[in-house]
Amino acid sequence: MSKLLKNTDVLSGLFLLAIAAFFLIGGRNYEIGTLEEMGPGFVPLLLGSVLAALGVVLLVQGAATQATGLTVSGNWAIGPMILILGAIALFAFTLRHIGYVAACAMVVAISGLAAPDRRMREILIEAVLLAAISALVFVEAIGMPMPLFPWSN
Amino acid sequence: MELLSNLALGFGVALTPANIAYCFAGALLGTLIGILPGLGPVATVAMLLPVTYALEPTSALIMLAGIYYGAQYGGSTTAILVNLPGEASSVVTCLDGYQMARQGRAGQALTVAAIGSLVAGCFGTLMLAASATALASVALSFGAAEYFSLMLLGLIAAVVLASGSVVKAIAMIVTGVLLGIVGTDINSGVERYTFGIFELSDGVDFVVVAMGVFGLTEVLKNLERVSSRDLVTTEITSLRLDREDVRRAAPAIARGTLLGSVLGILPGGGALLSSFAAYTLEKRVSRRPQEFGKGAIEGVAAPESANNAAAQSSFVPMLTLGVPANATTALLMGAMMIHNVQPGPKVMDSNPELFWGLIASMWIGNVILVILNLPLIGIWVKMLKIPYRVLYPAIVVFVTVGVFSIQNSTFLIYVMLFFAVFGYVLSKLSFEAAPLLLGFVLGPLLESNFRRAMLISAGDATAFLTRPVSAALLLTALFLLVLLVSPSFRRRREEAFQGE
Repeated sequence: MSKLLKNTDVLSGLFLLAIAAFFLIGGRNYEIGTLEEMGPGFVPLLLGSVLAALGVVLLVQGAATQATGLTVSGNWAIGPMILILGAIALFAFTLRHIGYVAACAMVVAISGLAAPDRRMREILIEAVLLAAISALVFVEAIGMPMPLFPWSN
Repeated sequence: MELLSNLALGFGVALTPANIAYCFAGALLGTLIGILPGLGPVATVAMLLPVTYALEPTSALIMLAGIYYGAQYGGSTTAILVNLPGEASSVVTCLDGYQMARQGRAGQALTVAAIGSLVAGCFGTLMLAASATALASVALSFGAAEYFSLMLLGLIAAVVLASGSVVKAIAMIVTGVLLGIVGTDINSGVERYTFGIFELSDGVDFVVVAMGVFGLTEVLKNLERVSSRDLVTTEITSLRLDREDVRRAAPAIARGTLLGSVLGILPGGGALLSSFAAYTLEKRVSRRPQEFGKGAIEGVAAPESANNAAAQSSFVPMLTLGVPANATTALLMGAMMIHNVQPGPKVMDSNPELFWGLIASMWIGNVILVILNLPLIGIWVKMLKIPYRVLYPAIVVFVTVGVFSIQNSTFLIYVMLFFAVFGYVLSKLSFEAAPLLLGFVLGPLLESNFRRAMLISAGDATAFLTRPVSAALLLTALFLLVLLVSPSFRRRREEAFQGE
């Protein structure tokens, strides 16, 4: 069983089935219509079914070759994923409150921690420099509508 | 001659000071980012797309095209100097280019790559101009059924020519089309898969998908392990080719250019396929095949010419038929649609300045690239020394701000995060992201043409087969699929993508 769940094709098949299920279940209330006048639900139903079929093909293929088939290899970058994507989410969440300069410095500082060979001093210097330069370019020069500081409006 | 007057019109547009400046800026930015590690042409174009939103359409496309071939070119510089292909199509350049660099001939390798690219770029542009009018006039007579079949053929052909599992690639296309459905259905006005979220009613912006799936996913993949880049130790002593170099490189450039121009028009990995094919061809016709892989100058000249020629000619199906051949041209097609220009056979008549201006600018861009790259190579070498740990936080900031700028709202940032996770899982399961993007951009067009064709034929699905052009296109697609299933073709396809 554990071998089965490491097989790339088996996992891919399950993943496709999940996507297909999302579109089939999420779209179950859309009108199908007729072949002549298709409703908004026709194409999602058609393609969702095709995707589910492809998922089954991969699943069977993976189960048949589980001993010899490819397995998912390499580390999963879970740490970097949490740090970087979390930093970006924090940016989006706090931008209006703490302003671009602080939010940007925060993104650099937090996402910088994700490198295996990180150096703290380098990260801090980069955070300050990038926040300052990009604030000048994006907000001052291009004029993007973001507050620079918590007190600017 | 009509071609000449069209090109004259194009040069008139492309040679205005503003457009030369945008072309230059695009080529410069593209080279800059293409040389930096960890960002391929697709991610580069996606990252810089929002920058061009404010420009008028012609200038925006001129700049984006410049970014595209700049990034492509930057990829070969890193291939030669640090044995690191910036993108798949310069994998082959590594083989002999890096060997030349280790023998102290980095300068010669760079020169021959530059000259090869220039020759190929000029020829490819001419090919593009010459074939565009003919193709477009054929496509003008197409109805909804023909368009649907054409797009289907384009997507299938892209799968056949791409590497990796066919089932997975088709699954990615289908997923892309399904994701493209999110938003308001134009026929019925029903909102699909928006879950009442106002920001999703116009659908998901393709830049958001590309930034997540290509930009952030690449960052995550690069952080799986400590980057082990060879530091540049090669000194560039001389850029000058001697007579022997020229004698060996010139025919290789000619062959690579021709091969690339033809193969580039095909949908799918045009640039990738043609650089592999050109390398294989050179090795076969060479009287010194044993030197390949040990620093043979032909092994740099031919694939570099081929992939640049292919990069130019891959614009043909996108500009004239509205069917992008690869992920990058899919992005450019999306950019055109944002500017309310619908790519396809009508562009040439409705926006001749844009169409011919873009083509002429490619020629100018290729000249700019040589000027940028050879004398300034010292600067690029310095940039290569920037470690990845310093680089990626800047990429993260740029991607985030870029996505914010699309609607000046933070909502799309969250959507991008979703696609980053999605793309990372896909890459772990060895799905390729390019067919996803192709399906996503073509999805709405596929659906609307399918539904219109069925309406016209009063619900008769055989209409796709009784209209001769549509039937021919579908039969070709079917033929390609059958080819894929045949074991001998499969073997040869695998060999071709393994290169050696």
